[in-house]
Amino acid sequence: MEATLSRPAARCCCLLKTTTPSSTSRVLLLPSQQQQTRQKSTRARHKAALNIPAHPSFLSQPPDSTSPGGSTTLIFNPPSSAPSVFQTPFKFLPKSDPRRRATLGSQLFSSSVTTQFSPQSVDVSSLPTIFDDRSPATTPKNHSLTKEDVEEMRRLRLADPVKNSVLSLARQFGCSVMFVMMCVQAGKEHRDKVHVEPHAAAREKWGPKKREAKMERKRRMEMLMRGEI
Amino acid sequence: MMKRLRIERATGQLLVARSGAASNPGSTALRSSYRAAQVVPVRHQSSYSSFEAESQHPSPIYEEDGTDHSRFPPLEKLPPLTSTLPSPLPERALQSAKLAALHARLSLSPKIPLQTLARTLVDPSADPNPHFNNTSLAFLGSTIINYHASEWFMVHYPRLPMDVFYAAMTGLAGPAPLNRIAKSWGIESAAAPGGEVDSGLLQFSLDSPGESVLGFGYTRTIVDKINKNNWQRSVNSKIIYDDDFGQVVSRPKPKPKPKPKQQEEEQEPQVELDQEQDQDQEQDQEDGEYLYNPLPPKFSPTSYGSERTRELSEKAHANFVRAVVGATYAHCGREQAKAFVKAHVLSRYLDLERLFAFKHPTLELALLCAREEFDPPVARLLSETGRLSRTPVFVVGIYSGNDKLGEGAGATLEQARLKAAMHALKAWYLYSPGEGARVPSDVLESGEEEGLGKRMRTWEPVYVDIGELISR
Repeated sequence: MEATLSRPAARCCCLLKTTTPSSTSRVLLLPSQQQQTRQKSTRARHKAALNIPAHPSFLSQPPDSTSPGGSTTLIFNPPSSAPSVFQTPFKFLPKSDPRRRATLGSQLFSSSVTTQFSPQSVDVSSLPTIFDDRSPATTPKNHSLTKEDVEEMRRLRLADPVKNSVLSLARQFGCSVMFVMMCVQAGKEHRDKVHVEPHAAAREKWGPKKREAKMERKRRMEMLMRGEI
Repeated sequence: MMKRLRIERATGQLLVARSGAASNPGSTALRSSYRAAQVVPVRHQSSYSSFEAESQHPSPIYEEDGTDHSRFPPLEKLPPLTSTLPSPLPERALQSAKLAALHARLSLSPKIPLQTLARTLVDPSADPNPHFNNTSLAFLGSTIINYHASEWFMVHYPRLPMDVFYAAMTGLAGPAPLNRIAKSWGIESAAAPGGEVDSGLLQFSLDSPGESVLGFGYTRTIVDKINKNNWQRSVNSKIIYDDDFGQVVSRPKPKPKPKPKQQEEEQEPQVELDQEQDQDQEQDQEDGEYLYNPLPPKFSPTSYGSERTRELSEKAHANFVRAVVGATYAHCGREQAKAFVKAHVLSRYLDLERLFAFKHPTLELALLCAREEFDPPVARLLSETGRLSRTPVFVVGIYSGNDKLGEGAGATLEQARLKAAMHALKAWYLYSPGEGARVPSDVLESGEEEGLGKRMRTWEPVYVDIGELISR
């Protein structure tokens, strides 16, 4: 599947197969109900669909390429790969950097996405966000909490930590989850009751396969954080 | 203003005989090791001719190490009692083919004599006498290597976090890479150190680690507890206390007490070390004692190739490379030493990207954007494939406002988001002003032309980051 993804021609196919350029941004993200599965009955159709023309950059013919003195064309169609971390984004360049002063900024570091399969730039705000309730961008902000509010938050949380969970308090006071956790921490007995004991009881029931799978998952996460996968 | 240090005098005793060489901390320990059956040669450059004269005498049948030289003649003609010495005589450097080949192979300047190159190959574990081992040169070399490496990182990657900086220093100038450099130079090591060994072989002992001070740093009072309990140390304390690689400076082991000397030796005034040794040896000869190397080497099949022997070997090889840099500096000067370090150490490839490990990348990125007053980061899905399949791929980009900071592909949305955040953080930390950025020591270089020299000598301040994002 990864190989399929990294083939620019396949992406091109994806683009060609569907509709007009106006709905390009929606084309890229197939909704789950439109996800195609391969069956025996659909084999011929899929095979036909995979018979795709070459990338436009290979097909484009300069008008006077036939004449011997005509201009040569540079075909730039690199395989897709992960971007390098040594290409600093424009925003991360310090003020003193000459790359910032140069006018190349607007060209090199375009603020809109230009994907390989759609030459037209896509509006960034139209791309779907990935929900993260801890992210400051996706949580509502209320910076006007007073000292009394914080006291009240503490009192509620310590009085009944089950009912007044961190998330419910964050919603109630219009602040982030992180802020609630910074203001008040439930006691150790609550933490054990909610987070340690049930998990320990569940862990006891795990068989060898599940235990191994959990270990693998943990190990994969550590590898991910070290940048190994 | 700084007073200029006369470093070239540091190796002077090799070329000029020093009469007052008795002020040597290891002299008491040395005396016992030099006790052999007969006269021990005096190791000085000036005494070389006397050795040649001595060697005309018929050599004893039984050497002090018990070898019957009439049955097993030595491969080359050695001065008498060479095997009583802990390291080969400096004069023998001129006859060593290995040493000459090494000198030529490294394209060292002819200003560096072969005797100095021979001295760089003697580890303190082989010869405890600091006038004959490479400790002083290795210390000098380590300061030069570490200076140039840290300067290079500081200018080329100004935003490296301190932990990564330490890791990068270890990866570029630590013992492991220097060991590899020495191996790539084709250095072979002697099976055991001794005076009869070829001067072109690296000599270190697997029995005693040897004492050498190689770097700056303080010994913490709780160093034993840190080592025992594997305590974490804060980055600030690493900067203050620890060595150039962020490693704990361990306490120097207490020296073994010198063996009780004879009464007359104690009353002797501090005369020249070598004469004293001679007298000791003569006395021993009269007593018929055999005290050279009193403990037999504890070689067992497991002692070879163990963790400890590898560590000792790595240390000896690394110190040799440092000593060569120190010798280059002492004989040829600053610019040559810098060119040597640049050619052999700084030119090595180090993948800085792989030195990073994160705990909460999304949180760290949010903190970064808050500190730099960027828009808060938002993860957006760029493309996906096979959401319902066994191997889905999601490509997620992290945006601050309309600017893309990082991009990552993963099998789950969460994984892709974390990868994108880590990519953005690495892109921040690995900002580089470019390959052509000048380091401070470039200012000291004397330009060939006048205009060039003037331009080179003016220093434009480089970009220095305001500090770490998360204090660890």
